Amino acid sequence: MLEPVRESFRTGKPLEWTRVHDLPDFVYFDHSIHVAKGVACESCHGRVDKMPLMHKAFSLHMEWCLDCHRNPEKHIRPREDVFTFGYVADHKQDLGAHVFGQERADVATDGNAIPPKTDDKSPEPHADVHKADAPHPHHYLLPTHDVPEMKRLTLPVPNQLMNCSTCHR
Amino acid sequence: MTNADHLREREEAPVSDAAVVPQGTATQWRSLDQLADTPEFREFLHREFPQQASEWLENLDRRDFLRLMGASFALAGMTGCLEQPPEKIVPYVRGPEEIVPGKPLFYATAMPQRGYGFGILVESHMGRPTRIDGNDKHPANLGSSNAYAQAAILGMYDPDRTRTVIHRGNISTWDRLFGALATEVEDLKATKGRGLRILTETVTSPTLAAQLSALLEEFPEAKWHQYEPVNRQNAYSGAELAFGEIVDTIYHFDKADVILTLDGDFLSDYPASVRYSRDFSNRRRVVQAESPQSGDEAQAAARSGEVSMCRLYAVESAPTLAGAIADHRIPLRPSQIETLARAVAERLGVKVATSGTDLPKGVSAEWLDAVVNDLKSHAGAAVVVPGEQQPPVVHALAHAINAALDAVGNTVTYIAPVEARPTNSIESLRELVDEMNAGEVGLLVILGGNPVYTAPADLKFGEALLKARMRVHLSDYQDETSFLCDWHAPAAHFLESWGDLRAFDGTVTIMQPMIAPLYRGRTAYELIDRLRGGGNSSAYELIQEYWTKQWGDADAASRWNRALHDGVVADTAFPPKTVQLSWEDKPAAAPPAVGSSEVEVSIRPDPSVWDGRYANNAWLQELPRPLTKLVWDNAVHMSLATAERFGVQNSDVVELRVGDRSVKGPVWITPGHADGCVTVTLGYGRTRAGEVGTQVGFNVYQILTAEHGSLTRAEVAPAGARQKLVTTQDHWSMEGRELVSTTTLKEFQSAPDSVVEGPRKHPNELPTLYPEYEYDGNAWGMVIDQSVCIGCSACVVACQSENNIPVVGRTQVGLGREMHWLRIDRYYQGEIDNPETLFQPVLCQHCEKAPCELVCPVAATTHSSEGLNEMTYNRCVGTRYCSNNCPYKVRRFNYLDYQNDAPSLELMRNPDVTVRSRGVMEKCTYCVQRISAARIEAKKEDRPVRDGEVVTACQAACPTQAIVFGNLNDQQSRVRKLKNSPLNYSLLGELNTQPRTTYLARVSHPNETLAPPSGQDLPQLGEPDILTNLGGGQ
Repeated sequence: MLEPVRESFRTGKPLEWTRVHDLPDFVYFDHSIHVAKGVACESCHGRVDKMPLMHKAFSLHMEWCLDCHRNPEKHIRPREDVFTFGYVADHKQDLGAHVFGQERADVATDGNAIPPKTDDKSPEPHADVHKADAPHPHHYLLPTHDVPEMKRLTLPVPNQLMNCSTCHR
Repeated sequence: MTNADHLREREEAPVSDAAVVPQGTATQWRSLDQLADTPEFREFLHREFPQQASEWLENLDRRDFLRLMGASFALAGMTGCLEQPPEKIVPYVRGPEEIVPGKPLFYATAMPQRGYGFGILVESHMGRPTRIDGNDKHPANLGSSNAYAQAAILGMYDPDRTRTVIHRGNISTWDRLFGALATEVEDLKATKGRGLRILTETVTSPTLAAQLSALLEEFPEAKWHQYEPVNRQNAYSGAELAFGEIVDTIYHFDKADVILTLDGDFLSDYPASVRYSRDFSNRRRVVQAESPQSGDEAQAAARSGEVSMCRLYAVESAPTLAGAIADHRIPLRPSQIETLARAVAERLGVKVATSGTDLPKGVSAEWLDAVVNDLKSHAGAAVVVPGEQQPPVVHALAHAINAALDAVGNTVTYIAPVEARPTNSIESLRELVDEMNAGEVGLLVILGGNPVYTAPADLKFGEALLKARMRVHLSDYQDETSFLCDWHAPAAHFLESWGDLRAFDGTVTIMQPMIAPLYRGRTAYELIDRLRGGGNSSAYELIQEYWTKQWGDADAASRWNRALHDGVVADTAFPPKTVQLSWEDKPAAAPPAVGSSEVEVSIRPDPSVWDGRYANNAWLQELPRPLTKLVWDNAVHMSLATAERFGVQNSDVVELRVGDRSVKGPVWITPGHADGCVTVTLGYGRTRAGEVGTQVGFNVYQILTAEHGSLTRAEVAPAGARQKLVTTQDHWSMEGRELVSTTTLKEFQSAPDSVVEGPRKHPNELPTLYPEYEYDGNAWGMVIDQSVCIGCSACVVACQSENNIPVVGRTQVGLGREMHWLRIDRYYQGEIDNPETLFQPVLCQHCEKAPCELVCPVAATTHSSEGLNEMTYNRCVGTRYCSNNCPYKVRRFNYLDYQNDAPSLELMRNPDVTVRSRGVMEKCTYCVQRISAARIEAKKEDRPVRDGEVVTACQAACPTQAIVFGNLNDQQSRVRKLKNSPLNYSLLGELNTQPRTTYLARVSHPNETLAPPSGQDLPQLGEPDILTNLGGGQ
């Protein structure tokens, strides 16, 4: 099955793949930032591990992209799980993750980092959500310093994602 | 009525008391037409937007209108998103190590500019160079660049470059050429090189110089000639007169307090001009970015007198960039400069032959005394700069004056000449022509250049060339010279070549190619190697061999890598040389009187095409020249008085006759030009320049003679024809409002907060109905310091290169449709004969209360959360209401499909910026692609964007660092500090658009003992309605 690849390596002639996920030329898309911030492969490309032949799982229309850009917290996951297929969100992690606030408690207004508090008496984060009928808390109200390992995934002010010039340049 | 009549009417009109102009400033005007306010000009401005913009002529009822619009909607592609044409992904089989698709790589190399090395950093996408910037490690530019460097990338992808060797009109191959050369070399070996001639331009390359020396040793009968059209022989001869040896002069403007130029535009005409611009600006800048934070502290610093500026006096014949920024300027004819130089020298104690001569008319003894006193009192920090094309005696006088001013070692140093073999160009070429005419030349190899076009007309180089037996020309294009040669060999572009070059101070850069030659071009090194009977050495091997020998084998490999990485070879700058002034002035013959129909002629290189080598570069052809804003043409520049004398107006054709040679060209009245002389620029009227440059303008080389050189005299006669010149100076009219705030250093220090008043202060306190928006993250803003903007227009080409801006051609520019996102407005202030010249770069102001965003029917232009006014091209339907509403007129519309280009030009485009199609509005985006890239990197590294991480293209190119960009929310950023200055003001602030781009008022430093320059303290020119109701045309 991989004979075309071997032949390409032998002859030096590249394989010409047909592009499945193609955005218009006037759109700028940066993969690295999506991966870095916890957007999984399967979130946009679908269950590629189950595709005998690659096909588009989603429309890739702008309104589909905006669905996530407007509510990123619903669609991302910890960085380590980005490549996992069939990921089931671990609620304990998911809820605490990716909190977006207007302020970051770990960075001061002059741009310098504030060292994290080392208060051992702080309650376990989001203890209340483990109750069966707990409502979905408002993620953006939870401060980041309670969830140190998720700090790095904090996104900036949400409306920066919705600037036209983020993609149209 | 002519312009002159209108102007005279206006001057005699009573001055109105009810001036709308703020007190203390004179009216600013952009062109003589605007001042004269002719009916044609009013019509021209009224029709700035195409027909039907202001009235609907036909009697159309509503139903018909909708029917028409409906039809065009259907055709306009409102058919929704169709399926995209399928694209392929083609991976590397064995990928190069560093290339990541989408991420550019930067490599250092150097660009030859008139033979001297100009260090550059080239941005490469996927192995293709797409953009050039300066190299901050290189002494010639310290990271900035000029228009030639910015436009050079277009030269590499030029579809007119030849793609093959041509032998007598037929397509041939390199092998055949090398075979023919091998046969020649056999014969040459037997005759010791008899008949072999090499003709080059300026050679600073150490490797090439070594090769040529070795060649001449092997072939003692061979000769090496050099010809550079815009050459330095006057400077060399002047140095020989003064010191008895040829030296290069390096000026240090960062140490100068007082500068006097004698027809010398050190900001653009010298090999080191970019560096000089930077050094000069560092002494000119009043507001430093390290200044204190708050507005009050800034004012206190201004008052305390901590600020110091240099002072520039300019004496020149034609307006130049140096004259424009000078504090005092006097127009003099070129021949009068020598008299003035002698007068200055005499007053400084230099022994001159003819003492006590009358001063040139226009220079009063008081003026001269004030200048001399200023120079004397700043001895050790003063410098006198002679013009490159002034005769050698003026150079010698300048050397003597600088010695008397104790400038040597401070503001002036001398080094051994950088050129490998400084030659008198004209003599060298004359010798070659004589030999060709005598039949002594067998094999002639011309390396670069275009001597058939650029040789002085009286040498008749083209005719002589045909008498050489075998002629080989290595060049980029099949130009005028290649056409007359047997063999045309396609040259590798400098971006495709290995090589080495020396900068103005001797610093070596080893050039490395960015891409394999597109068209199998080769370098001069390979050709000369073949002539020496060498094997198949490539340029890479030759360069490496030379440098390995220079360095010794010890650590040659690591030095090679370091040199390529840095873009400079360490410690190769020439050390300063001690010279002895041994000049004795000889009495000068008085120049012959100028006849009544004669004028002096100054033949200069063109600010866009230089000596014609860039004639096929569309970006440079369309770049509005800094002072005249002309495009796509050259002109005969003269003063209003001279034009009246000959009874001509703008665009009238005159004939310039020098002996029995003549040339015809259109007139352009240039305010500030000296009377009794004209200036013409080289590089036009080419017959074989390619699609872009052929038959553009008139050929001034026809009156350039070996006998008289570039300063000559001609008879002028109106030719009775008209040739419309296209200029952008009246496009995008700002309705005559005072736009450039000016002040003097003294005023600034005594009352800093009175420089800018009222609503133009930024931010202003005007009320607004719109809600304020909070910018919590980044808030991008820009400050342009008008005290240091010299008007060189490098930023305009940089923006064009970065943002894929198309070229539209002369006709479209004539209609006002040029596409430059950034324009440099040039205003005059004061009297017509010698006005002050002010430059103001205008780009999208990114208004916080943008008038354009409100009126877009499809929301194609929106406001970002970081303060940018964004433009979404695919959404724009071409209503053009946004451009209509923009008070700054910075929006550009694609009236036609300007981007339908040759395939090679598609390679040149920046892949990070959308290429716009017809019917789409575009404008400056604050280089949002660069902002995005920096923001993405910062987010990945989980840190804020640092100050200086985002550099817009215009900011990067500016030699004087006049443009500063950054995050206003970052209190430590340079832009934040500059905006705190009392000089900060917004353009048209009274309209309450709250622009993010603001300007620092221009501060000048006039000498208080002299009368103020004409721009200040004058009664207002004309009536108030010049400000509110402009009309006119041309």
